[in-house]
Amino acid sequence: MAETQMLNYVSAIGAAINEEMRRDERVAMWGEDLVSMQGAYGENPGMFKEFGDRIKDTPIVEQAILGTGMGAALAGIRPIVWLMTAGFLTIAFEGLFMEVGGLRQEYGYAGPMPLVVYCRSGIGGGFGAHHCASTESLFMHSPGLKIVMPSTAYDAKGLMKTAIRDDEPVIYVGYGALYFGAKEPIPTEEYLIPFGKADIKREGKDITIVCYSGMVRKALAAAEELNKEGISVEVVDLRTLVPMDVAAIVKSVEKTGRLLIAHEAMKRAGAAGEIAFRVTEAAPDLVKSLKTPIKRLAAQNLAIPRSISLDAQLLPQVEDVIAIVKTMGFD
Amino acid sequence: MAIPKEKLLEMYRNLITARLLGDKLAEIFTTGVAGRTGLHRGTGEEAFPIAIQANLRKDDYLKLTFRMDFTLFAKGLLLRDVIGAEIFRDSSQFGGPRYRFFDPDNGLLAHTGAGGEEPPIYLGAAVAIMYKKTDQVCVCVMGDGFANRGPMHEAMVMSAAWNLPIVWVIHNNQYAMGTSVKKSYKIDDLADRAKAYGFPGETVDGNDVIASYEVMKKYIDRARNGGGPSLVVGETYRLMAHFMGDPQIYRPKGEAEEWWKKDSIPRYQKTLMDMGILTVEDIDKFQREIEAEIEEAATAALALPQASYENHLKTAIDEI
Ligand SMILES: Cc1ncc(C[n+]2csc(CCOP(=O)(O)OP(=O)(O)O)c2C)c(N)n1
Ligand SMILES: [Mg+2]
Repeated sequence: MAETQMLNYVSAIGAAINEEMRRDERVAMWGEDLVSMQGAYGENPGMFKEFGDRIKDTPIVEQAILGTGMGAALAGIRPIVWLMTAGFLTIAFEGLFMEVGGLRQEYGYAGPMPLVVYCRSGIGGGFGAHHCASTESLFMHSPGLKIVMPSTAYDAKGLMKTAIRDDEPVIYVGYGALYFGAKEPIPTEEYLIPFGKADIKREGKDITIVCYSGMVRKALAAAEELNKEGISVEVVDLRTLVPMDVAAIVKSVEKTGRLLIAHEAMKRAGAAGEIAFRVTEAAPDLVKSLKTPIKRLAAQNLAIPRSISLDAQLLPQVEDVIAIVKTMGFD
Repeated sequence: MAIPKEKLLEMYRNLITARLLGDKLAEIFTTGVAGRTGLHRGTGEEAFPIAIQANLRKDDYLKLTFRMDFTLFAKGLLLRDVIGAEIFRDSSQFGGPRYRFFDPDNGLLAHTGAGGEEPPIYLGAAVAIMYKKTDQVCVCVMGDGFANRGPMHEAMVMSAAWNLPIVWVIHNNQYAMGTSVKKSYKIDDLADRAKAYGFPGETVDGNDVIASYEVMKKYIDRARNGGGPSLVVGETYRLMAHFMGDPQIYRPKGEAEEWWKKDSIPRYQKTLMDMGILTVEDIDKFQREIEAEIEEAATAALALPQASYENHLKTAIDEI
């Protein structure tokens, strides 16, 4: 067994950034309060000291943070820009969606633009949409943005390293509630996790739940409960939404005959619709022969309230996963 | 023109109320009944927003920094509703604001989670005032941090071009989260920025109640009388952590202590006593009265309803 060290999600991300900055001196990072406060909520604890000016605090200028990331990436730097929350990505929406996500393509330029846009979603606590909302499906619609949403410390590290080495723009969204969660054994030896490779987080034979980011934990908890009732759940963690590992979903559903797609983003035009259609296109006969139609579980199409009492009510919870699975032909 | 005695005493009471209310809110948050932790405390920065509001009517539009919203009782909100809004209670059915101070009918267009998006929205209120030809004004206060964002720049450009009835304010408490103004601004006097937009700018000691009142009065009257936009900078200091629980690794030792020496309360007490309109007995009496008011308001606030899911459902525009 290879050697491991115990790291939580946040330290795993930090370790990835550290290693990559040591490995390649073109990697640099900037954003708000990265150094002064080690991130807005301490998401980037004390791991950057050795890099001096390669990690810099900016004023509160999100559009400039994002835009400079793109410009620097075209001019020989490999920037990681810290945008704090997935909600704040929308402040820099034009820049991210149209410029970072499309300008290269407008010119037919497939050359390098190695930019990592780093933020976190899923903060909760009555802070409202900007701090809690999942915005990934907005950016899935852009032609040139890869989207990474890890659900474990192990994945967070390996995917961050891949993101930094990728020559194309990547949005990397950490999940707030995981940052200071339990430590996991992480190999001390270097590893990278390729984009577009889903991970089976739990094997099962009766139903496939496709999910990513914070929803994976909830799906696993639901699977544990459902197992007691004799329903065997397979949990497929997509890890990256773009590129998407449709083959892994198809393979799992060939075994289980049932597909539920779950995410914390709102339902309307959420990733689930896209996932279901990709599966249908890739394996029309499989979809025709399913034991029950594909279902999705997502946040309601309402703004996340600036009120703590309603947060949980609008977002899908473990009980909701259990309840919807039970409607999928198990009687 | 001398400030009427009633106004001076009203500001005194409001200042003390704000100080005691800040402590009360911290206590409520610590005991967990607020439903969350991490209150952004504004203790030590109360004088400037109190002086601003002493110049406003209830039907004027006002945006304060999220940290100073708890002083909105000075604009006519009930103390109960202010506490309620801070702790996610909803007093809209009683004529108060919704949680987190959303109350368009009383000039509060709310702050968003993305700080710094508000200036154009508040400028929109000034546009409405222009069309409706009323004598209302709009005061939009941004922190030194969010004042650096793009929306404020565009809104200031447009306010000048249209000569709109708005006073832009920067509440400079020297910090934006962990970032000192020294790092984010390369000018000493933030009011210099006004020059670039072609309207007047002035900086005032935000811990000096009377000076702040007078400067704000000048520019609010000016806006009300068709004189157009201006920029006022109030200098103060964020004595508290960014949020309760922030370890404040960025703050130099001794800096806060120096600013405590400039605290507005003892200074204002001395001024009023020198003017002969406040006595030691008054100070005690006000303190006791206000403490009792706050206790009563806090009890009432905790009894206010939480956000209702039914109200949220009404906001849906299609299937949820
Ligand atoms: C658009 C946006 N960027 C970043 C944040 C995170 N944030 C919350 S408060 C804050 C600092 C605000 O500083 P300032 O405007 O000076 O207000 P103060 O906290 O000093 O009252 C930041 C950066 C945010 N809420 N919104
Ligand atoms: Mg500030």
